[in-house]
Amino acid sequence: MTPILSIQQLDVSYCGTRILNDVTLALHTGKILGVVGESGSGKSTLLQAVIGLLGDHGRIDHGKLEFDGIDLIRIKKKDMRRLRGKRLGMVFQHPGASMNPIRKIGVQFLEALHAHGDFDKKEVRTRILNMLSELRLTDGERILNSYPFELSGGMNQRVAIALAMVLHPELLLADEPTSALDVTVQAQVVRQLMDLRDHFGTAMMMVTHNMGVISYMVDQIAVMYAGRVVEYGNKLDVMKHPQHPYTKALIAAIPQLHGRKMVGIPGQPPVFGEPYAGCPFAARCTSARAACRQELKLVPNDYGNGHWTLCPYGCD
Amino acid sequence: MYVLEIENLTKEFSKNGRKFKAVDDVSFTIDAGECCGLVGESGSGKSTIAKMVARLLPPTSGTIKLLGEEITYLQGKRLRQAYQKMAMVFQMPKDSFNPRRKLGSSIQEVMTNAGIHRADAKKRTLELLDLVELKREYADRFPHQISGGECQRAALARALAGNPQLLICDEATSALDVSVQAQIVALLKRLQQELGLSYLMICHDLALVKNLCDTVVVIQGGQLVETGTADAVIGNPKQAYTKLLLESVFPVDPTETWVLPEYPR
Repeated sequence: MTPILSIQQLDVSYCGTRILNDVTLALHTGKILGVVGESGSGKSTLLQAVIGLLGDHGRIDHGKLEFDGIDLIRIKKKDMRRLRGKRLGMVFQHPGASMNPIRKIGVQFLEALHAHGDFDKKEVRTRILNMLSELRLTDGERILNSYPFELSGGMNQRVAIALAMVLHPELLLADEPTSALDVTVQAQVVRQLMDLRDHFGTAMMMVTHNMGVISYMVDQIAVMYAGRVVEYGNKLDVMKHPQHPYTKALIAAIPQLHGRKMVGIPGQPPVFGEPYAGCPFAARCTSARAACRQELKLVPNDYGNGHWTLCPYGCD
Repeated sequence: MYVLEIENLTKEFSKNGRKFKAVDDVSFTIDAGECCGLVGESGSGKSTIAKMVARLLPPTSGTIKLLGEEITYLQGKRLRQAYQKMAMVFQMPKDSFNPRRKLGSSIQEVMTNAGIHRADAKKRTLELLDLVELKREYADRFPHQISGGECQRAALARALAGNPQLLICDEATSALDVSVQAQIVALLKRLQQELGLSYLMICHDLALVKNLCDTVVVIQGGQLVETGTADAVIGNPKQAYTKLLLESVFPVDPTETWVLPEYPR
């Protein structure tokens, strides 16, 4: 089966500084891919590259980026606009900032729908209201008549999710969609996203640092560090048998309700643009060997079942 | 003596002529060196309580005592003196700094405002940076030149400039990713031990509250529903609402099953 999204050996830089290095990932219809990693590891840049929002300073230096067979790197701007919103949905990290502050929510919904064809206003309105009520926004009429600044951060985020889902995109990209929400709303939003996947086979790429959300909803996990995917595999393999020392440290840093205490990772990731020898994580790695800080070829080390890491030694 | 004593605190907002109680008769205390977590849904009134304690919002009724002194209605110079004993750390570290000022100057300002001589303030700024494990060069950087975690450390340094007894943290680690969050939590714990600080932590991550806090106050619809030690409240919740909050948390272990709890409409 061909994947709906295929990223191959992607290199992205901002103003000449390399941000993403040799990223290769594939996402199939109906699957959810979780992208985790520290701030500044390139997670958001990866999403922006896919949806073509790198901006004037961002550049794809090398690699392939295909959505359903369409080359997203060489696509015309006009064609990209047609894809965005309808077939490619996006939920941004800061919900308030992703909406027009001086237009009412309802108007923004209609604007988005009209950009992709004509709809019966009344029917669309009920559909939006249903979607909002499923996201536990029961006061839908009031919300559609509100400006973004009149709603709380959590409400805005749910509105943004509804806005991204209303056209049933084939691929939904979400950048920290639940971080601004409290636990009860988060639980329902996650359920809602999964229902969308179950009903419409929407593929999703979720960037989040909430490991609970990751371990509940995703199928595959990509762990990013310093612009590289350092470990990839099925959720159970990565969470239960992490092979890269960074993944292991990341899992140990998760606060848990019951059981062990959280442990941080000392040190800082390498600064973008400053060269390092060998493995980018070597300076903070507890099991680093001399070879890790010298010339080390970063090639995927296969553990079977699609599970691989960039660490040649592994944790077991 | 309690570091913070809140009694019958109430805040009423009125919108379109209708009155609405955001905080309804809440009372609790924080001991010296204690970390108290304030949890509840969005809109439950957590931040309103914190804002009233920090005197950023006047309460409708009730009293707030800081180190035995009532601060509910303090104004002017005496309020500024009270601000030496408590400080606040906000959710978005970068938004809480003046983007056109170097971090050192922002931290120093707290002290020069309190009448400390500039040279002394400068020296103390560097010591504060040591305390929060930031390099001294960071005094000459702007907020946009450092990462979110580093910026939150700088915000802590600024909060500690007046030697406060109480730190109010409003979602201070929510915007940070897990490994940076763990570093900040370790720092908060160290400061708690070394300086005997007390914390009022607003936090919606219950697992984090369990890891960091000694006591927990659960708020629902402006009312206090449950309070006790973190181990007791999170390990053995008595109230349905607390149970609901805990059931909403996804288990980190992917092999554990999780079912969406029934939410009352």
